[in-house]
Amino acid sequence: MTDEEQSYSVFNSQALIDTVGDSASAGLEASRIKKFISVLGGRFFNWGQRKSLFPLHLGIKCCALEMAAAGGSRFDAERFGVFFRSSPRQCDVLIVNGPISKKFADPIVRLWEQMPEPKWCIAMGECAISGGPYYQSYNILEGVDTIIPVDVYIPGCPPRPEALIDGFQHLRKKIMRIGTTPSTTRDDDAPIIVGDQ
Amino acid sequence: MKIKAEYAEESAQQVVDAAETRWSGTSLHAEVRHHKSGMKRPYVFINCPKNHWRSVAKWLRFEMSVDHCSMITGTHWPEGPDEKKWEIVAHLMRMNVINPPERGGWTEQVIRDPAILQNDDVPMEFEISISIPDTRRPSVPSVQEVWMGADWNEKETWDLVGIEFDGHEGMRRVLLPHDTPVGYHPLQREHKIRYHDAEIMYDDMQGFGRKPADDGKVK
Repeated sequence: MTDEEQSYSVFNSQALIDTVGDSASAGLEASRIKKFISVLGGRFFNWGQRKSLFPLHLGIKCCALEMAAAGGSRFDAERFGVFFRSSPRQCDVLIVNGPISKKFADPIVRLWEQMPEPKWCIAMGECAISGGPYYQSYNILEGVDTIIPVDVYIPGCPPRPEALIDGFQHLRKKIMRIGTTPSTTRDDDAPIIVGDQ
Repeated sequence: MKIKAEYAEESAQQVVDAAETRWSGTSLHAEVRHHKSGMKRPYVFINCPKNHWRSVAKWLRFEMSVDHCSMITGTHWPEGPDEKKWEIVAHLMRMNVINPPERGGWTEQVIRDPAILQNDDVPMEFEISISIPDTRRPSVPSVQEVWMGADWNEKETWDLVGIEFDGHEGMRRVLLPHDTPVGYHPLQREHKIRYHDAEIMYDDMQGFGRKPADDGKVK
């Protein structure tokens, strides 16, 4: 019995798969097809990621209504591939639209950590950028970038829906530039502020 | 199709008269006031002493059918008159909500012409003001059992202004973080916001145990 198992086991073993994989990989590298396919594949995935940004259905305060207006028929964010999802596990961009109170700091960090990589964050409106009209008051954080890393800042109180769509455009350009660098190691020298370019 | 102004005035005056006769010996004062804009509707204003608040509340709820507590808030008046250093203001409404009857599986419509509403049927707003003289520990009896809406309003008032509510079960912070220390009531006039520069303060947002070296600058 053991003999029969051993005589067939060579076709089922991990060692066989590894050997075949290594030799195929070496062959592709030698003919430079592998690099070509990986670059093409990387570009294709990057295109897919930036053309279908799924934000979270998170509305905190007034800017959330502008975000909703951007999803409506007049400004129509969905034609850009932006489709709002209700679960953070299915999202790749977190739009923070409102002041973050000290009590909400913990849940929003939890939402951010529940989003799988690659993920990006947009700070929309003055309250999320710096605390806004509630700067240095007793319960509001001075900007959401004190607790989560922000990629694009959209100034305004509230910013127009066109500004939010422009923010998505800036985010797409940034994704083209940085690819899928994990959010913990993204170190930008200049913050991307919509309206400055 | 509107509530007749004279019926509304009459109804407000009835409440005021009933309140004045019932608590005639005390310092309770009731009057009819009018809104300053719009239809200038009448509303009942009662200036209630602290020790009668619960009985006034129960009378309003069960005999004047005031069923909705919109708001209970408090204010700190440090430069005010001596008997009004702290103030509790309660806004109540008599809405006369009727549960429509169900006949044979269908809910019947209840349509009433507002022009014929009189006396206790007229919807009316009430504003109750309780003045508290200067103390270290301002407190007011709680009306948590009388109205459902009083519960969280009292929690918010204690949270932000610091006025205690005697007899309120389960008093806790609702707007500030739950573990804020007890003396921290931001809407008191002497409360000064202290702040650190952002890089000192927010390094520790998630509570890793580092505290800033000083108490912070006063704003």
